[in-house]
Amino acid sequence: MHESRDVDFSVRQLTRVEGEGRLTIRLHDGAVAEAHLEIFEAPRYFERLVVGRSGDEVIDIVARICGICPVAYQMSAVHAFERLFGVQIDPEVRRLRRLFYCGEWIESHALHIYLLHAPDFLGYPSAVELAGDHPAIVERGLRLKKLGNRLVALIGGRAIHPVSVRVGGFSRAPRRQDLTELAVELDDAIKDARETVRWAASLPPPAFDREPRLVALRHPTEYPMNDGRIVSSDGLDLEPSEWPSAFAEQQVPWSNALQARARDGVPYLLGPAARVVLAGSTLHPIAREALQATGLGDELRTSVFRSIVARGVELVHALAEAADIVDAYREPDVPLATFTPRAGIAAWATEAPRGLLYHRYVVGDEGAVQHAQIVPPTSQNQAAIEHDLTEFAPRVIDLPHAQATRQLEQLIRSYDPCISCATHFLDLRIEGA
Amino acid sequence: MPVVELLVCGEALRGDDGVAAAIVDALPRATAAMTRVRPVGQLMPDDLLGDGAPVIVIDAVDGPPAGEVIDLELPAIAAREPGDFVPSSCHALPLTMVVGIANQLRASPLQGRFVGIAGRDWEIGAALSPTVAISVPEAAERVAHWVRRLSAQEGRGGECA
Repeated sequence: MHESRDVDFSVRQLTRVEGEGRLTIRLHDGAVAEAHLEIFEAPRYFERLVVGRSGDEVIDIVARICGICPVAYQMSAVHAFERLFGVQIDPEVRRLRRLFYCGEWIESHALHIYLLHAPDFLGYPSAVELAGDHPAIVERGLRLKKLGNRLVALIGGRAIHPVSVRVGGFSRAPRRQDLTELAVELDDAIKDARETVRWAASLPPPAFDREPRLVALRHPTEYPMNDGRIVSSDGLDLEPSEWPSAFAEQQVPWSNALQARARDGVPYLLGPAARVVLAGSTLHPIAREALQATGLGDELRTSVFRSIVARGVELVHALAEAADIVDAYREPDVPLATFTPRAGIAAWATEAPRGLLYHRYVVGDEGAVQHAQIVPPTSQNQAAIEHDLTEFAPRVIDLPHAQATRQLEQLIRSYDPCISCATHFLDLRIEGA
Repeated sequence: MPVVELLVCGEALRGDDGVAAAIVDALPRATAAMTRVRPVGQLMPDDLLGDGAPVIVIDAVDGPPAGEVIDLELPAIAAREPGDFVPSSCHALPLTMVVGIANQLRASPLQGRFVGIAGRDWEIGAALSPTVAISVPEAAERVAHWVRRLSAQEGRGGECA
């Protein structure tokens, strides 16, 4: 007679992620009956905080949503307002914004690759032990992150929660001399980043292939950051402001974060792997060469554990593009364009380090926000994480407890969720085994 | 005169998260002259790799009752056991990991203290909570004590408590 077997995986506290969450997986007869990424951090009500505020005030407020990717929040908001108000920004300001975004990608990707994700592949419980055995690797990551922070501080006034972004441009633009002082460091950092890609590609991933639906911005001539159209691996092609026509947020009972899904209910994947696959033709030639040298190609699409390589490729891209922009930089004639606010819908999406970040504001006659919707990449990736956990959990069910824990954590970290301070301190409980 | 580096963490525009700057502002002038103040926002391991000068990390703390002054030996934070209190705030990396990595990478042992105040209100634009503000002089006195002591240790190999 068949005896049914129930197994519960309960990770009660996801730590070292930005925010607070837990993982619960319930298996019945070897199949996953339930896989939930539960985000129990209290709601932060930022969408309510910005009501009644002007565009510039919104930009300062949304920068406080995240200490890792404040630039992304500022960029999605400022583009939304400028589009509604019909603001034409100086071309040099546009380049400066890309440089600003490059700085954030550099610091965020370096942090995740070296200090959060790499220990998984090398069998260390955390970057502390990794630093003990391989100090040069950790020092390389810290060096890269610091350079990214310096870029953000130089343009934004501060490395964390920058303050210089305004509707129409920047309150102040850096002097050319300030940027050129970074040129040599950027060149050295490109070498570090290329080595990062080579090294990341040598890290053996757990065996797990799937066919995700990928979504990212794509632009005809530049790697997607501030501009482009929303595209998907199955043919979607939208203006960034049209995000709600293809996707929707939903409340799920196990999470304080809204989950976004495509309107057909299918989860989708955002972030570096999606961007490299969908917009790889616009990578900087140095980054494209680094990617080709790995020989990985399609594996970046099918293996979630290879996201560390995609992140490394984007690290090369961000540094190489930053070096180009710094080299050609001239101080903008008009760092701050004038504009007249008007009522309407301000909506845009840009590419945060973790993926597409959509903002939508209903603006009244006086230019004040009446309603706001902010859809961060992690809430969009949540459903894809749960889907991958559903597929992956049966493969680890018979592994020893510690190994199962490590591989489930590793999968979650592959998404670099902005619940991000985390996952080396998971407490995995297996019941009924 | 030997100098102690004060690493000032936190975000001054987020309520009690700005308490570190308030503590530094409250330091006696004579003590301030013995320090080098460096605002770091989010503390990272490379902030602790400096020039060998002793450091005091000053930050807001989440967890204990609001207003409680926390004073810990910095190098020992990395070795705290599960269940021990560890100061936490909105850093890219938890303090245990920041200190642990720095301990691994430094040429000489990390020397210094952590001094903070437990906060209650982290809202944007908020002032310090009254229960936190009232503890600022006590925390400043702790910092001043450790500045004098660490500076003396640097200068002549130690001072009696």
